[in-house]
Amino acid sequence: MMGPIWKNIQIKWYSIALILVALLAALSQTPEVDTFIVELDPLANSLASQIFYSFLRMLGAFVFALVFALTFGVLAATSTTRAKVILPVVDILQSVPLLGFFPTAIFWFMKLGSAKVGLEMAVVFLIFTSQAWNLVFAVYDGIKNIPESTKQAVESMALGPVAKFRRLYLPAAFPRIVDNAALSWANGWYFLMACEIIALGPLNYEVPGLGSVMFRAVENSDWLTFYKGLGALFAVIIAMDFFIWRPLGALASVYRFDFGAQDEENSSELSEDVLSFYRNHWICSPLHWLGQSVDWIFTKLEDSFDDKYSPEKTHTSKTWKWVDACISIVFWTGIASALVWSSLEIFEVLTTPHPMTAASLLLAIFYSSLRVLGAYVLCLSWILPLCFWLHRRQSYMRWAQSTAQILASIPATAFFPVIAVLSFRFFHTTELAVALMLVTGMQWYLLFNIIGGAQSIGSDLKDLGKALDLTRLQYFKNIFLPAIAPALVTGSITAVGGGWNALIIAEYIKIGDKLYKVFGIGAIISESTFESGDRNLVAYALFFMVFVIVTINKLFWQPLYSWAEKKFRMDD
Amino acid sequence: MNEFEKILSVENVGRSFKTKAGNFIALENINLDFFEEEFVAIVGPSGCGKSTLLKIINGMLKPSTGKTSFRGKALGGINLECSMVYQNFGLLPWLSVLENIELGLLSRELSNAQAQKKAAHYIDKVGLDGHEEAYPRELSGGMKQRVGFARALAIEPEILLMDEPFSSLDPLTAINLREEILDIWEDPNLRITTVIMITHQIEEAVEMADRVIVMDGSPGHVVKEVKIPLERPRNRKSKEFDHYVGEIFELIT
Repeated sequence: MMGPIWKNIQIKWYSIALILVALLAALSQTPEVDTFIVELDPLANSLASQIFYSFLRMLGAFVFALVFALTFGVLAATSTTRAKVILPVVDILQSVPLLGFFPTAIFWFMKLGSAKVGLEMAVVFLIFTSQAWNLVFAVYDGIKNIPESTKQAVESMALGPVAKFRRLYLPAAFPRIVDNAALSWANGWYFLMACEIIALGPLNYEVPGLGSVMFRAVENSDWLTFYKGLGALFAVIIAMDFFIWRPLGALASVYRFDFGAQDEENSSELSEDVLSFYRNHWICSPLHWLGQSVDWIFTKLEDSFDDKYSPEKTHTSKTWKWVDACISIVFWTGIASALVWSSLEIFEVLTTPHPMTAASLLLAIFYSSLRVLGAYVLCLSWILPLCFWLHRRQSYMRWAQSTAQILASIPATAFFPVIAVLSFRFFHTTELAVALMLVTGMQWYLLFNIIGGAQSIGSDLKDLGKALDLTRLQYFKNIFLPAIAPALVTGSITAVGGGWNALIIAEYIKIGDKLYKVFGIGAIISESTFESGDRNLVAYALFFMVFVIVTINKLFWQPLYSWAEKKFRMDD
Repeated sequence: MNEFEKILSVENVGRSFKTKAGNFIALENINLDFFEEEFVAIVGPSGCGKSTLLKIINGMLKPSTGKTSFRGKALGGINLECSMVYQNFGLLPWLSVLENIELGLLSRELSNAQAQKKAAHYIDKVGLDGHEEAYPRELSGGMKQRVGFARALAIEPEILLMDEPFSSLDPLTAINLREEILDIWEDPNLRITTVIMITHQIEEAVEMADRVIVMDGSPGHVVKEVKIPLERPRNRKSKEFDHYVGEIFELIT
């Protein structure tokens, strides 16, 4: 029992170390930017153009994320050695609050171009970091789950590498990519809003976009504009759901490998209806056009590239061995040089003494953890009873689920400025504002997971409760709670992850001249970036934060999850 | 003794895999010859390396030791004169019947029109006409396997490799398909001359094959080759049939 867990942790520790040093290295390379150039663009163009800006950023980031995910997903899925490096690294990146790196990212990208272009690139990069990781796993899983016979059949057809990617890997990964793309976009909206807030607040930069419009509106107490912005954001999200994710979801069902499932008949008929509707509707023509151009590109690539592939010589062919060796060399030198370079950098940072001691940083992390914990308890205190109540009244469940889905589709960060302003105005405390912001950033993960867990409780267990004449509390304790335990743990892990990300913004919000700030690690990171410009402190703070979060994940949440999964699994 | 020409030979072939527990030897010292106009069945307990052997014959897997040659020439990659049929069909769910078959022709130098014509021809051959546009999920197991056969035949190979092709079909469908495969093999208009089939049903092997290769595991090796010189169609209830089944059964257990 202990064996596998420890073994697992050891493998992961290796990669944790790798990631930490790599990130820190990037940090300590932060170029010195002494003063910020305040560059206020005249805003007040139409709302539509602001949405367009925001959407463009999202789209750009998503294209990068998709290309990244396909590259690394395929690399990992086609070699177990590569998978051993790629998967843990992506796993860690997924669990670290990358929003904390936004200030650093801004410095980095400003070095590359003008301030404006740099800022824009930083925003796109940050959105990318919120979209890419789950997509990598989607591509990897999709390819790994190709049935053995299909894989072999295609293998024996002697297709060239491009043809194999186009006709096997890409279609096989497609359903999972679609499943995850909607999630990636939700994360992306969250980060986009956050970036626009950070840029406009402490940096006093104008990133034209919906987040900025809404932020400005709160700053000026212009509630009409705020609601207009919110409505516009909502409209975009709903429109995307209807015209992009639904047709793609219906299309994806064609690409799934589950032959002959029981309720297959119904669902495939349904998706057939949805598909034909979208197929004939002009509004989806961009999707068709996109599909056709991708197809065209692949045909060209196949024609020019795969002709050089000779299947009869795969055992001996020098060219293909050479190509393969090249890929490996590039991959492993990349990894190795990142490791060496970042080790040198981290050594430099950590050997430079700093006035702010480790103890006070740990204290800040402790305060921040308390906030995350408090918000977590707050979330649970309304979500658990609600889910229990809904569980016993199935007729409301569907309605509640769809309402929650709509509410959850609005990125929580859109509300952060208004929460900060209002809670300070009425309660004169920033601490409460931070807690509320964390709750909005965490609650949906918990709600959806617990509802999912509650829905999996079979009618036999419910009847058992009735047969044994359990009181409501007894039923809650003995049947409901154990049954939702695995889902609760999953929800908690993702919620706490979301909480840490929210914390970075929540602890340090600047609206107009007013600064809403509490003592915590998120505030230290923002403050030392934006005000004191102390890059060593930023490095220390990020190092400790990442270290603490990863450690808690590996030593508490993951073992807890495997325990709950083992003990309370529903199927026999 | 064999009046037909040797088409494929496996010489001193061994294959090992690296696993967490160390080196796993799947096959050791395999020597086999296959001839034209021959139907060969390979039987053996699961895990004895039958499928690995088939992959090596097909050229998808490089043997760790020894070599395979096709018509006297050493094999250095995938043998384009081989095609495969799988127990679980190996179809792509997002392609129609026609497209699935055309996919197999992609690496052969054919124009789209030629490929389509060929695919249509073999769809007809396996009795799937009218189902060209259907998707695999809409087909029964037997029909899926017909698509598998059509895909394998469309390549017009000299050797047909089958990995338990009838194991996931219901018994009645399997009986029909077995007969059809024998007809296809005997059809002088088709290029296929040699069939190599993996099975773990001894009766199936005795019913169909001219020669049964009996394998055993750890590490995978050939125990014995049994010739079945019975006239076709073979009577499963005859004494001779029983005799061969009994002989092979004893070799395995």
